[in-house]
Amino acid sequence: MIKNLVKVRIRSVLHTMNFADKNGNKRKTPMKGLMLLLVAYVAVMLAVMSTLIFLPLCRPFVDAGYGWFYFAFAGIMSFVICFIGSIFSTQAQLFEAKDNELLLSMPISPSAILVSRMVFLVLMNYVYEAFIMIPAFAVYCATTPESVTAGTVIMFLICFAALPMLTLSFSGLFGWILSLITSKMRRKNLFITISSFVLLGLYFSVYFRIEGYMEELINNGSEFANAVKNAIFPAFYFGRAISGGAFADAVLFAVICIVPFIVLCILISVFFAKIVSNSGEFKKNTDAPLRFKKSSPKTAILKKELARFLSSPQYIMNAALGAIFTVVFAVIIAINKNSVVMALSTVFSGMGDQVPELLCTTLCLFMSFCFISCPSISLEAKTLWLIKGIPLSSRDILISKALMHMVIAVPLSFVSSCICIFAVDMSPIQMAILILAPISVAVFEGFFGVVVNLLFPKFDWTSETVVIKQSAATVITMFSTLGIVGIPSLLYTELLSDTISASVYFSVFTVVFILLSAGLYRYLCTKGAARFEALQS
Amino acid sequence: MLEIKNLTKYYGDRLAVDDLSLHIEPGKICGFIGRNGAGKTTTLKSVCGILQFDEGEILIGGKSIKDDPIGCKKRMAYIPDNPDLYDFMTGIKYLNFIADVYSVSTAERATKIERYAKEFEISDDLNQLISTYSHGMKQKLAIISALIHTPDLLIMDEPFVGLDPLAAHRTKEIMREICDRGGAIFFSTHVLDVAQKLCDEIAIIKDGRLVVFGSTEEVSGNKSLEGVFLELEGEV
Repeated sequence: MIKNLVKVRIRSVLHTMNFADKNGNKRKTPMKGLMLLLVAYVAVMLAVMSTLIFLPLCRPFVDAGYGWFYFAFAGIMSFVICFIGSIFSTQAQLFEAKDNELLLSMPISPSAILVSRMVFLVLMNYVYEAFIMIPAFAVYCATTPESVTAGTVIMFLICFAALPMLTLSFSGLFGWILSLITSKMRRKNLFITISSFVLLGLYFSVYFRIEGYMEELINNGSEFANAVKNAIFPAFYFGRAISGGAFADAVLFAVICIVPFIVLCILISVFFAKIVSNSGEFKKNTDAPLRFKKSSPKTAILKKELARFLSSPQYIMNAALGAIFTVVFAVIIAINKNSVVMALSTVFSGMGDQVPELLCTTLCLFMSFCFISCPSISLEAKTLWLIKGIPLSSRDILISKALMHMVIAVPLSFVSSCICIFAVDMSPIQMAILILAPISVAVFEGFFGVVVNLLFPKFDWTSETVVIKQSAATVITMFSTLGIVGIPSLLYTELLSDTISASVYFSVFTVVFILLSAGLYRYLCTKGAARFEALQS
Repeated sequence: MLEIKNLTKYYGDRLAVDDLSLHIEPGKICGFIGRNGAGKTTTLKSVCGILQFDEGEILIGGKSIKDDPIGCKKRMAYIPDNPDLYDFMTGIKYLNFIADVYSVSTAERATKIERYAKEFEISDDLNQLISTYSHGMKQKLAIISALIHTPDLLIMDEPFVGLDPLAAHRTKEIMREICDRGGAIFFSTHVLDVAQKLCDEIAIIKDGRLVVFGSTEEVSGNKSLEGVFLELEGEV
């Protein structure tokens, strides 16, 4: 039974990612190759980023006799990444999955349902962990080959296998508490959105200071090591088990990970039915008067799209992140212009000290990570009958989805550009470019997301988080736009910056994006609308 | 009001509706009966412009749903068998949304929403999120939203499922009111007693083909509708 439930869950995820067709069979089209290529690209990029973090740390620590601390640090980092990466997935998969009630109504024990969910989450955590621990271990093997023995490898495998259990114990407990708190809340989504922003803020405050932390870590390694040894003892056993090939430490660490995991599993399985059936009833708001406010049909459909977007913290936190980053970036520029510009100049060396152009490129790249319109068709799912039944043309419906993206992304882009303009001296032409180029990307991505979702719709999802974060449409939109925006920028900085002025390049860039947007708009009004009419949920 | 001519719909290779034709005059309630998978929902969804069909023609008040889908949709309303509505909206926001897309004035929507919400006893729930509604409450909300723009043609798929007896009774009264003012209703049901008492006309579909269509008296004669249906299905 558990095996079948796990298979169903994995098939559901693969299906959401378009790796399998409606019957769960493997897809034969070239799209599968493209999807695999994209996944491989992401995996390689993440592994490279991790490797760059561990390279300067390994040798100094090993030489100083703190090899264990190197792995303890990697373990802590892995734990944090797994926790942040899976906290909301854990809550969604365990406590808020759409099929919880259906499964509970079947002759399946709550523990079997729970174990199947846990197995899936463990697998997901292994993926997150692999991006940290495998590069860390590879760096260790490459830079200090004399320290690597068969024992080191075996202990690494044992610790690698055990660590996600500890993460899941925490994220499961946190998800449970979150579920209990939010079930009684009227403003549940607001609470989750703010919590997500706080978590994200913490993550990025650490990420942006990582170089400083690293330096401090190298300089004061022994102090940190002692602190970790005393305060975070599982990390100590984790590090010593791998670096020293110590079997006893590995077993101790595995016990530390597995025992709380089992305890949590037992607790949740006992209360599972109660948690799932908690209807979250709160006092009815019967005193408030009914409001009757008229809008035009097109405004109404746009408002409905916006309400859909704003109702989901997962939607906001994933799809609008790029647009939010543009504002964060602009604020950082306003506060600490010099150091950010210096860092950007090293990445886009061709632009040298052309600060406005550097800012423009960065804002465009951030904007390419905004894909609000992309899952909007898939999210209709069971309500597709409703949207198709109202007296509005398919063209208006599709355009409203793109507009919803623009209503959010364009103002954020404009505000970011204005902050940058106030922070940095520039000519009127550079100001115009700094405003128009990111907006052209935002408009393009609004249309592009809808087109891609039309080509890769998914209506049979069990968790909206999965369709927002992992569906084929999302992955394709995000990386295609990153490529469409990033590759010309790189080509310009590396090859063309000596022959073409930045103003000319960005003017052409903006015009091209406006033309591409016009082309996509035309497609949505004609073939796209026809395709939408043929969609069935 | 509704004219279906030679409607044919395939799902892949499977023929779901086969050359179906019928005509419902204004003022008539037509019950659509058939086994599960006979093609009822496919026909109803095709009429509403939700589903594309392969052959045939569907006319709403003389206008083709293919040529003028928006004009046709403005004159009708559809209530599905499973009212999946926008869970992220409150009941009142959903009703305002529907009223907006049908361009219903503020005064008219206020009058209708207040009236129907009171009749269906969900006035106190309209400020709650739809995600907190029961199946029956969602069904009531779907019915109210279908009535907001005073449709000439009401298409209903199993409208009484999930409704309490009082709401079911009120729904039947409203259906009759619509027909009394010149509208028409085409609805599917498995409750044959209700169909026999409520409908002016009966259409029976079997394996995608319309096997019987006529006035309720003609179809049932001196038998019960259940008897006629079972006979047609070869169960008697």
